Amino acid sequence: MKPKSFLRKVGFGLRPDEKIPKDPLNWAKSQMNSVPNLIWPGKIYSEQEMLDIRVDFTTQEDKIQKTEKNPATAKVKKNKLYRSSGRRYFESYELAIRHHQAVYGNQPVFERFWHFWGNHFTIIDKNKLATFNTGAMQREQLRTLMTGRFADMVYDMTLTWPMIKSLDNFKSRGPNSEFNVNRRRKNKPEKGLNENHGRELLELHTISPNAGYTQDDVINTANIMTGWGFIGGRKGVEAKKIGYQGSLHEPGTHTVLGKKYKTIGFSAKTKGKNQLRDLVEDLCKSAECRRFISWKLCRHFICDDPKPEMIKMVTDAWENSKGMLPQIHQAVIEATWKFGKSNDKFLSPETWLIQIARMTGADWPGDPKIFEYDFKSKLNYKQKKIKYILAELGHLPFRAKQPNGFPDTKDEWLSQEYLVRRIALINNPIQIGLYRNSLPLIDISKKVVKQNFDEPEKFLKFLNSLELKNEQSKSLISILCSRKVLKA
Amino acid sequence: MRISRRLFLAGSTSLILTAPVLSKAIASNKRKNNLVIIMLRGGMDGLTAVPYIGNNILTKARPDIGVNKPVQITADFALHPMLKNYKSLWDQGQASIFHASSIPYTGRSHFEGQYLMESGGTQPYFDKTGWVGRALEGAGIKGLSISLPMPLILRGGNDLDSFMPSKNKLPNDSTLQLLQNDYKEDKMLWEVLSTIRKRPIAMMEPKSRSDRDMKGLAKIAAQQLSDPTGPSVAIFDIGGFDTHADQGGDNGEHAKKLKQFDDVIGTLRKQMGQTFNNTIVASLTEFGRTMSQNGGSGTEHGYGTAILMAGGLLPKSRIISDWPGLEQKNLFEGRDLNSSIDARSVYASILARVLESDHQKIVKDAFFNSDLPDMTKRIFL
Repeated sequence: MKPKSFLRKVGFGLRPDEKIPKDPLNWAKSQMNSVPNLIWPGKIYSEQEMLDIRVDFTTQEDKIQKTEKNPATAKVKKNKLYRSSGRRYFESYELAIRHHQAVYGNQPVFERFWHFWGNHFTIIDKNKLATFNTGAMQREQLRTLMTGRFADMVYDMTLTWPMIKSLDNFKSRGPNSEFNVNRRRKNKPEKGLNENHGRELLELHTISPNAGYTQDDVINTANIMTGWGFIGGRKGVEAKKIGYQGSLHEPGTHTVLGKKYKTIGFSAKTKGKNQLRDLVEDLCKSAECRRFISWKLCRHFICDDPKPEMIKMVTDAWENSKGMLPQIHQAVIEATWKFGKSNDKFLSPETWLIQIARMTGADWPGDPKIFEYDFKSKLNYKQKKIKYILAELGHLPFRAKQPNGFPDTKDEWLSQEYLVRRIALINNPIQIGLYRNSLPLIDISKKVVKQNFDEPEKFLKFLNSLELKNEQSKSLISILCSRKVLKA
Repeated sequence: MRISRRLFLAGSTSLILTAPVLSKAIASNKRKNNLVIIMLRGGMDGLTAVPYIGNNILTKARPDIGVNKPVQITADFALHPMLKNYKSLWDQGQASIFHASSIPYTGRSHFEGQYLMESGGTQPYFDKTGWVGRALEGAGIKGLSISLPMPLILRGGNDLDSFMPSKNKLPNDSTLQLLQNDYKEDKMLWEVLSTIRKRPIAMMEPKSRSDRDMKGLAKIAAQQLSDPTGPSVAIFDIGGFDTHADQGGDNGEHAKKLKQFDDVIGTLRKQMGQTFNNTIVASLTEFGRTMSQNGGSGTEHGYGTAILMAGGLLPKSRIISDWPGLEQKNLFEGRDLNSSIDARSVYASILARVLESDHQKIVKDAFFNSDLPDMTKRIFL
């Protein structure tokens, strides 16, 4: 396909000073072999640190709720806690790291795939996960899994803290587990199975309903997953570790899609632990999984309704590499290069926002220094605007409401109100870091067209016709909200 | 720059060139009827919203999440205590419940189920339009979604808008006109922008934060529906009914969500005034939940649920149901409240009443001529 369109289809477009790669296809493919370092110069909090901060916060908040009877004092105390714990700070901070990487990094194609997988393994917006945990987990775990096998990615993502928290598996217990047998003996009510995570492992993360599994398969997947949950919590304090407890596991062999999963080992503590790994391996080996994930990747990068020949390139690479992600990603890139059409894919709000920031050279998401925080003051506008703007556009990436994540087609992303939000944002370009003292907006618009349009002539002619009048912001809107830039 | 009236008129002039659709009500000078669909995502538990109290079978199956203070409305059924506004409509003869009903989907997947509750079909991810959209297309009536996206349920209609209050301002219409020219080669973009340009001024004005909560949105919907030239159908979207854990009983997660639903109904009732008499509000969800509680004091994905209706178009308050019972043998697959009627029958009859059409025509326009019994008599006589 045409090189400049391709760069926006798999990446974020060219910065004003960036040279077009001589061999765009190999430029993109080579980005898949290694995990780029984060270029954010500020502090990077580890996932464990964020978990510590979170648990500290939830413990203290809980305490205020339980002990402080006077609502006014409780509010003051909570507000102080919100500041000292960064309750309102961390999500913006994570988003800034993510956008800084996408706008200024040198492996933008890798970042696009990272964003894709973050949405594939959605952590839903609940329990303050977006505030403290989702971003750090994606940075530290998901990102580093992208050069390995898909099966390993699924297994590890299944057992991340936010995933276990959001899909309730920590509450699921085998009906005949040691735990429930003891409860029955003591005449206490049983605490049974929770199907939530098992169902989504099949439906969303691996094989999709097209695989034709039944309710029994869902129940048995949930049985296999029993035992995996939090370990080491205390009363009133959230546990920080994910682990396996044999006493909660539903004993015996469980059958999923006709295959029997047996338990290995004799130790009561670890018996049954192998079943989840065995199941994930089989799910990821199946043709349904290959087809579903390959289709989803093609839909994300190429077009809303990917054709069989596009999907086949990816499923072939999957089979040949035995599910290695770099090869799968490279096949997606090749399929885009071979079959992709210019302006065929309507971009999600976040991808569009990052593209316009990168292409205009805007000061986005802002100087990393402004994101330094003393954990005492009120956040200033610059610190929270990235979150505010993404919320306005309807696309806060850590806040999908349901575990199927954000949608990925034009029908879903194009409505009156979504479009209003995008046009209104560019109508006030200071918000995205295009200041009055930077280049005249019309020059910025021209630069975007020259650098990123395969056929710039018509648009340049139009922009030249505007120049005489005082129509700076009009020029910017007419380019950044044009059909060509909304789509890739 | 804010859109001025002059520019707004310029916008609507260009609209007339694009085959405007006059509402039937204006054409015939009649009062228009309104339909409000409140989508409850995640699987609304009909047995929590409208618990069966005929015997203690339900409380036994739900020791930790039972409704302890049910508000009795008939010998066998009660309302959840959070449904205060709904209860007052019940007392005024403006609330009816169709119990033990579901869309014809038993796969227990949210995403397939939500697709079907909106598309009105039977094959997930297949139909690209929604049942309300198709019905509106046939009737030539405007629809409004109070949400950022254009939900599937409204797609297929030809005079639709989606709306959420925002502080940000659009540029003047001459800039939008430039974009309109650019969108010529993309029909969907072109149509979406056309609708934006003909929006009434009230919708163009920057809104404050309080306009964005559920009550604020309900106010906006009420204004729009009360306007004789405004839309006749409004869609709300409330998520979070998927309570696998800590569902709660009188309070807790499911109760909180029911309160949001009740707030919308209360605000519509208050703000619409007389218009509420020509209105019907109905809930819509992808499935109900299991009869028994699970390991985490929650419930799993089920099947049958309740459709809560309200509004002056209803003749009286009642529970309509061929109650299948909650005994083990009567449960669907031994675990869920069964569905005694395809929910689409109920929605078809509601649409027929609002659009002053007949059930069979709606079934043909909106529901692919499926075999859906006419519920008009049971709901409206």
